[in-house]
Amino acid sequence: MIYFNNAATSYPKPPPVTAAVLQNIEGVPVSIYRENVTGMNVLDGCRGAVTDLFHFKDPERVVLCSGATEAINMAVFGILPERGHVITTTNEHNAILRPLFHLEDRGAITLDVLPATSPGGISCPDLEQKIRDDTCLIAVNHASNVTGQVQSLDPIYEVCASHEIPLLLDVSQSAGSTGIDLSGRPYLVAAFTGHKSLFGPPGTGGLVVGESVRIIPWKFGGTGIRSELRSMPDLRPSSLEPGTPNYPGIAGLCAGIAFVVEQGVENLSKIRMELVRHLAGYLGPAGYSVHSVDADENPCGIVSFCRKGWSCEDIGYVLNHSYDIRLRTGLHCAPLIHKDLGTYPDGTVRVSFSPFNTHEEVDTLIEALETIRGCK
Amino acid sequence: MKVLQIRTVEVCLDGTVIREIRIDRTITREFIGHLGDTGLLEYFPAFARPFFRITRAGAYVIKGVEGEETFRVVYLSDYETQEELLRKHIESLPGSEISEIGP
Repeated sequence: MIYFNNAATSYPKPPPVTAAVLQNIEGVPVSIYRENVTGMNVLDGCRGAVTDLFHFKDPERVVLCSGATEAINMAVFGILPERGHVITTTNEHNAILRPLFHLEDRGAITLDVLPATSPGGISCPDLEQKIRDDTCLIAVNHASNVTGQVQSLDPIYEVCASHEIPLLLDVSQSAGSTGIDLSGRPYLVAAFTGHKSLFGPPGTGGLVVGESVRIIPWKFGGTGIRSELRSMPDLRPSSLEPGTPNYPGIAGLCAGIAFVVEQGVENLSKIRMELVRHLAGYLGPAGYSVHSVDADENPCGIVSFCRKGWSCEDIGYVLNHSYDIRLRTGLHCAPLIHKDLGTYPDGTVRVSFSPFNTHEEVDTLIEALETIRGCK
Repeated sequence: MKVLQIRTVEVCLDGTVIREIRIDRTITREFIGHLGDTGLLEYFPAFARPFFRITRAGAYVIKGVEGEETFRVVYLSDYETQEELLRKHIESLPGSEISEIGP
């Protein structure tokens, strides 16, 4: 089996990730303060790893949860007042679009959606122009899971910060694939997931909350502290982490981040980019239409393509069932970007690389695509 | 030939329903030919395992790979009626020969 679906969930995981999950699940679960009595506090350890990775100062502003979807919901529902205006982009995954559409349908917010697929990414003058007096959130995907395009964070953040508007940055694809510096950005809230390029288990992730952003609790329940209170304790990060944490998953995430830091984000990206270069070098000349960005701008290792005369679904079916190559076809949970790209509603065939993929595997894929090319 | 299981893979925005059908033996060329009696059959033998697609205009598209025990049906309309007709056809006797297309 060849696995090219790493933008969905990375596979395989580095051995220390599996070992960390196993060690945690076999250990005595928790002490009275939810610490793992067999060793270091898993939650604090993971918060520390996240702050190191993102060059962020305050581990108490790292909220751990089940992944980017929960983190984004936490931010959207915890930041927005009862009424307001939100700006987002066509790049977004449904993790951002659906909460915002839900609020728009309820009449709670008005929404502007900016195009985001032009070569330079989001236009900051256009973004600036959309800002109104009641704009209370700007939500942007750092790296597209369809095209691999990475948005330049600095100018977008500057626009948001100059208006004191929180920027919700979805770093699901980019975390672990490209260097992300969250230091000195008090209006930034970054939602990350553990199971992609951070090599953690599914069901892990979190939210990094800049110091000028206040998030009202969105979920309620036990926190292990201040149990006498009727409401959530006003203590970070407990106020946003009700319920029993996913300790084994968080231990695995911590090991995954350690692997990324040890190997170096840039070194891992370089491997992905070379694999992109290899595949993209075949696709264009072979008559496939490529919708992802060039290898040099593609640290996430995402290649999206189509072929005239073949539906993406059929290409995926042949590759999966006839060649045992696992990848993804369709809209990839990001419907709006396909309208920009002209690939709606069929979507694209998406190959997404991990540093564990090899050029021999790409050659096998190319062989299969060459056979598809030969079929009239 | 028996249908062992049918499960929904996806219900699409445009109203099409994608179902996966499991049969009691592996898919052979003979079976593909039999399925092909219901529509326009395209057979691609050049792949590592041959791929086939059968289009019944306005009703469904069947796709699958020789050697597997499952194949997929994209129902374009009225899937319950179409599926019942297809099931009856699958469980009837094997059918016609097929011709190859592709490289």
